Amino acid sequence: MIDPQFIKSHFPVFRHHAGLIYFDNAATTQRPGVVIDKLNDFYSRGNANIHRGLYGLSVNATTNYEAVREKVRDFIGGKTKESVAFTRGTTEAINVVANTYLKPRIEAGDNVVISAMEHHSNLIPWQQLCLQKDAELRIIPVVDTGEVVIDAVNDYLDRKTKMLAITHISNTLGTVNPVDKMVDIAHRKKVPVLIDAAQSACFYPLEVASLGCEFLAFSGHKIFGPFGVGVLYTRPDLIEDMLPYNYGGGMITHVGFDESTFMPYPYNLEAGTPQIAEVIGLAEAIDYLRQVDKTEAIDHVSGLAAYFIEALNKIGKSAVIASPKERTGIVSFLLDNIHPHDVATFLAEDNIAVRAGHHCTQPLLEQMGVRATLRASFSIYNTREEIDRMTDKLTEIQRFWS
Amino acid sequence: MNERLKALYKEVILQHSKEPFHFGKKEDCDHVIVANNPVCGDNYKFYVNAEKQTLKDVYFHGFGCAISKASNAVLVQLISDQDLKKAYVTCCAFLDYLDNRNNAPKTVTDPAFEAFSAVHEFPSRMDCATLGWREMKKFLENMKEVRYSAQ
Repeated sequence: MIDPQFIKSHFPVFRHHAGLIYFDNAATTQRPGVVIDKLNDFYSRGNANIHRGLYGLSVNATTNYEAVREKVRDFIGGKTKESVAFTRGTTEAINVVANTYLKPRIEAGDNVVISAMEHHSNLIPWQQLCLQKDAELRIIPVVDTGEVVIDAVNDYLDRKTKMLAITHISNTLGTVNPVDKMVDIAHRKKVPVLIDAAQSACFYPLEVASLGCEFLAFSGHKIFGPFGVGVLYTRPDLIEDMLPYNYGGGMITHVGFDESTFMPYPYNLEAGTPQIAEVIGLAEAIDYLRQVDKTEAIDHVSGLAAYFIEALNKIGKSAVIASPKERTGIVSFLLDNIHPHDVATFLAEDNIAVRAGHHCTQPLLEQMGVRATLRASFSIYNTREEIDRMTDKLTEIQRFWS
Repeated sequence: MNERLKALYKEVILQHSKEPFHFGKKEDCDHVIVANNPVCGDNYKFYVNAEKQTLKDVYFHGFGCAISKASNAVLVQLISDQDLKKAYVTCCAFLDYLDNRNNAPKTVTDPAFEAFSAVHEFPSRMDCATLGWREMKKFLENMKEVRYSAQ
């Protein structure tokens, strides 16, 4: 069983903000003390640039940085550590795939397929590439339950499809997509698949090797790690197809005034001095997560979502957006016709942090017929008592506005 | 309900947001001014007629929170029937009233402004209160009558 109070004691932010109810975990999680200490420790005891120095500090920094690839490989169930590239985050990872892998492979008349529930970061890179190349961006619709109909995926893919880019979990609706089935459907049509695992990497087993996806991306800061570090996984047989993204130091084998040659993936994506401390901090977050039973964590957060939805249904005229069969700990909702920003301001006064707005999924909300929602997203340090407090407050807000 | 919130959501704001003044689409007007906040999704249009350098029948429509809706309602109410220069001065005065950057005491040039005094306490809601006014000011700046007199 998850013990949220015990977990909470690992996160210093809750000591500094007594009474904080943090329900914005889909935007970023809080960090455990061990991750914060690791950053401090690196800068205090291990600070040096990597890949260049012959002295002890630099050699150790390089070893520690490179060791994180192996840790991430294990975390995502990959086969080789060379398939793990460090990026600034999910957004950059997706941009890398769009611009280095797909750009040379897509022509006018081809298409890229995404779903209507994609975060802007898994929409705009493909949209802009398609615009440049006169290709078509196809959107698999999301039905009223907030789900993608699995049979529809097949209908949107054809011989001209160059990529299926799909999110594992909707950051707005909380829907968990059956990505294994989607990968199978795409592979039957020889379509490569990118999975946006930003919302799932924390608790959901990714198992990229058995999943077979070509690409997968996630961010450190949504899995208790530092800001500014993310991961791009590329299937080992495709790494030679991955071209440099940024050019500069650290990613070359030889440089002349007229031409240069570059290191292979993943090093060709890590130009300049990378986010060394953050990568090392990411390893600490992965170690922290290893102590958490994933099944129990999923049960905990989705159990909180179900508990909250039940409570919301008792508050007259509140509305939960979407009702997927499999939902993680993310709930988008409305309270009467009070604007989400007004509700969020009221909740903030009671030390309850939720998000209000379009959650970087404007086209999705337009399709669902709403302009903005409130979103509560739960993690393993959240409790039912915290949800009770929010529910009480929502009832109070409703009274004030009526 | 705590006092800070009561101060922010004064009765006048709640009233304006529930039944805003001149809330409606008037597509056949002279000018349509868009006020859009991509961060939060607030989206309004102002419908403006400028007759002999006087603003007539200013309406607005769109989607946003109570603060932005009330603020736009007050804007529309104040500048309707004002001449362009006067309307411009009104916009400047309101924005100056809410400006947090200097601590100088603010002159309340219109009693309607006072409803928004508590927005100072909620920096995250400043954009809500000022969005429409900023766009209206920009629009008026581009009207040549205002531009010449501002020089």
